[in-house]
Amino acid sequence: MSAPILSLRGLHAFYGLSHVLHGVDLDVGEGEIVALLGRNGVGRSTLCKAVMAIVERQGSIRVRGRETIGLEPHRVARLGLGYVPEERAVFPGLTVEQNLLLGRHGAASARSWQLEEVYELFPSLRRRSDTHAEVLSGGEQQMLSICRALMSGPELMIVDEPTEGLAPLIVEQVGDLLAEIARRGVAILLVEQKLTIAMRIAHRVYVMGHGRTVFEGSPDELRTDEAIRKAWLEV
Amino acid sequence: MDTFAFAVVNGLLYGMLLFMLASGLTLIFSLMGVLNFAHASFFMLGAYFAYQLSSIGNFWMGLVLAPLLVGLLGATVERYGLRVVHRHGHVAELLFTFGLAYLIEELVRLVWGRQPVPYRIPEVLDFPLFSIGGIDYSAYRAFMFAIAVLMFLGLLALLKRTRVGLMVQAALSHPDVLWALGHNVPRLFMLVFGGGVALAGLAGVIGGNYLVTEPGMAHQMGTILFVIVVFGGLGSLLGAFLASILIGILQTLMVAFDGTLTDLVVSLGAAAPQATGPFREIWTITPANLAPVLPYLLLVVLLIVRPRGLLGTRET
Ligand SMILES: Nc1ncnc2c1ncn2[C@@H]1O[C@H](COP(=O)(O)OP(=O)(O)OP(=O)(O)O)[C@@H](O)[C@H]1O
Ligand SMILES: [Mg+2]
Repeated sequence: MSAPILSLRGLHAFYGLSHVLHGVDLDVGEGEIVALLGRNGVGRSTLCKAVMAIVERQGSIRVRGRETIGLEPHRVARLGLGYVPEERAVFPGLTVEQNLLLGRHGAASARSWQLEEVYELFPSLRRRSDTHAEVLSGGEQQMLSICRALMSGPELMIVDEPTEGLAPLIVEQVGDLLAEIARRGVAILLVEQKLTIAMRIAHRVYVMGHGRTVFEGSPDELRTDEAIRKAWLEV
Repeated sequence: MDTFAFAVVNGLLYGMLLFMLASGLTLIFSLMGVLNFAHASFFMLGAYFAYQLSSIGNFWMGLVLAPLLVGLLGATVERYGLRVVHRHGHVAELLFTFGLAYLIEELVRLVWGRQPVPYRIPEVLDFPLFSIGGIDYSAYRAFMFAIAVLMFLGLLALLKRTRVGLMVQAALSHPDVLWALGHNVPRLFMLVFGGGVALAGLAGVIGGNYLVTEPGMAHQMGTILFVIVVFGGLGSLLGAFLASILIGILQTLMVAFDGTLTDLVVSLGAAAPQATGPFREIWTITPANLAPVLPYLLLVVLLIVRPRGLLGTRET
């Protein structure tokens, strides 16, 4: 593996007095899809927020070798990170196109995507480009949120539970879209609770428990490691 | 009837002036969660700055520069004051703006004295534009009206048509997400705070000479403003607009109506009430006396009937 795009060492995160992450180590390599699995409430979303600097954190977060622990969120994003938050968080009151345009920040580079390219990747957004984001279906909102993050031309996308509450057919579409994005050279840190698409598209898998990573390996290794699945995943 | 029409038009103007303050206050509140108690103090500063500038230059200089100065001051206050205090929570922020209001008032007294300053309407606009039933309507009022309307349209265009406007709208629902998408949200907050108080400053520039420019004007305006934003529903621009116009017109109407409560009852077709007993004083109260009480009465009643305010989405 070449120098990782993202490298976490001893990462702690807090909401006021409540200490949620207790020293996480995790790497995402270039062009890699890494799945982060775990039960509800173990701190997967908190890990995403910690990387994006929108929650209080300590430890080490390196992006392409550069320490970001002291940076503000917009500075972190401008290093080439795209964030697809939990529950989609599309901007209500704004149209699909306006949402997409806000995905491209002021310092977006030559890597940044054009509206056309995004529409080509996911044509149904073009048809709905003038629709207010909040009236889209859950699946469409998820696609919008992913495409919004794509607009800045990130090298790494952090995608937090993109399949939550979606019908099986749509879950498949989300998986395909992510795989397509990865094929174009964008690394993905994919947070999931269910194993479905994670096991299908991920190159490597981490399992989280009690605010730490308790397993790291290939999807096949996880498939055969019943003890880990019983202890940390199945309910 | 003419007096009535006249009062309505004046009330509308007063309501627009109120909205120039309420709009900024509402934007700042919905975006940053801070109820800026010092908002009316920036209105007062706008009036004093304009007075100062018009005494060394002219009114037009004040019209342009005073809101800019107020906006710069507001941005500085946000950047080096509010943003620091923000880490200690909302109560600290409230106390900060509260303290700021007193600080500004005392400074104004120190610099310009306790008495009103002679900030006057520019001579070019000091003539009757038209008259209804013998009452003159001054050109300056029409000018104020135009400024208020222009400001309103400008604000709307800014919010709906520009990239900064898009960012503001996005930050209303998911500020953290916008920040994590690479936008400098703290700077956006600074701009909105500066812009919001600059609008209050502009209201001070055009309202200071129409009303009176004196150290008590912030306090007076502040209380009515508070009523308006709560009445309209904290965080709702449209609610703030309706409340501004409603309270502006009601108050002006009540001041304009001379006569006592007895006259009012009689004019509504009822028999004149017997003015006896311990409460006979009530029947000699004039609506003008009641005018200052009315907004608070409306507020209290509305909060009982509808705690969210007119168009608000959250409980106040
Ligand atoms: N804003 C918050 N303030 C305080 N505690 C929080 C906050 N958000 C999350 N927590 C707590 O932190 C822990 C981890 O939450 P997190 O959202 O990271 O979990 P998760 O693994 O993403 O699970 P899920 O998304 O299914 O809730 C939980 O115990 C949760 O209660
Ligand atoms: Mg989560």
